[in-house]
Amino acid sequence: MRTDEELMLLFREGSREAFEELFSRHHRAVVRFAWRMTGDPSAAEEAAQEIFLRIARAAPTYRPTAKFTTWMYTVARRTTLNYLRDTKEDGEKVPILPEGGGEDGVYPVQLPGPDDRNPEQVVWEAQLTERFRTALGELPEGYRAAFVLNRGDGLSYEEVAQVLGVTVQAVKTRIFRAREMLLSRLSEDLSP
Amino acid sequence: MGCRDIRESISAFVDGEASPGEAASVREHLASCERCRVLERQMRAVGAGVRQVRGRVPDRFREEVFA
Repeated sequence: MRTDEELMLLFREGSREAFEELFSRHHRAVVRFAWRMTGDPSAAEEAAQEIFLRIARAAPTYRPTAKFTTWMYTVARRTTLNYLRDTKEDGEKVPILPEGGGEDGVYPVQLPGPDDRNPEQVVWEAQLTERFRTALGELPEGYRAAFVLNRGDGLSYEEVAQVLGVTVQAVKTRIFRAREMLLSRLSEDLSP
Repeated sequence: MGCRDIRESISAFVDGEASPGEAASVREHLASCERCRVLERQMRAVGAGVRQVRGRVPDRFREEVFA
């Protein structure tokens, strides 16, 4: 099986099939990323199309200096960021949640799960997922991007740092603050 | 290290990104701090929450991209 980088080089040489294979491999991840970043289905669709168009347009000058997916997510993040900036210019602000956590760092929020020993296998009911989606959309874009790329798309801190153009320490701090803000927001939603 | 100071390290630990020394400090702290053990579970759960937000690929997405 050809690597992503080999496929991109073949596409650079004119192979449409190579680009179709790249699309098949990555379109779900790109749509998911755009959805998680914009929170809006039509904006996500538009952004995802734009991402693939940008990848195609960049083919003539593509050089495999990094993993294809790192480069792909760099394009994806810039595209969704542009969308969000355009939305702000239209008057719709991306609200910023206050920082800071619960007292002693514990949040009064119950995240239900069948097994306390494996909190990553939490059963998320639709209502909680919707609240989470809303809270995710209220994070500052830089925090959201770091958190989504690492927790959603499985990129390492090092890879996230390359995508965002920041240090690994900055990624670590952004992801931590994203968690604090989400837990704080979910605590507000779920408190009586 | 106090609870407030170690929270960022717990976040990195949950993601498998803490350095060996940092991970050791986190484990040592968690062994004796119930509040931070609760926080660690909350941090893991909220990380898993991102994967619940999936969206869906629009029906004609491929046709639109290759048009």
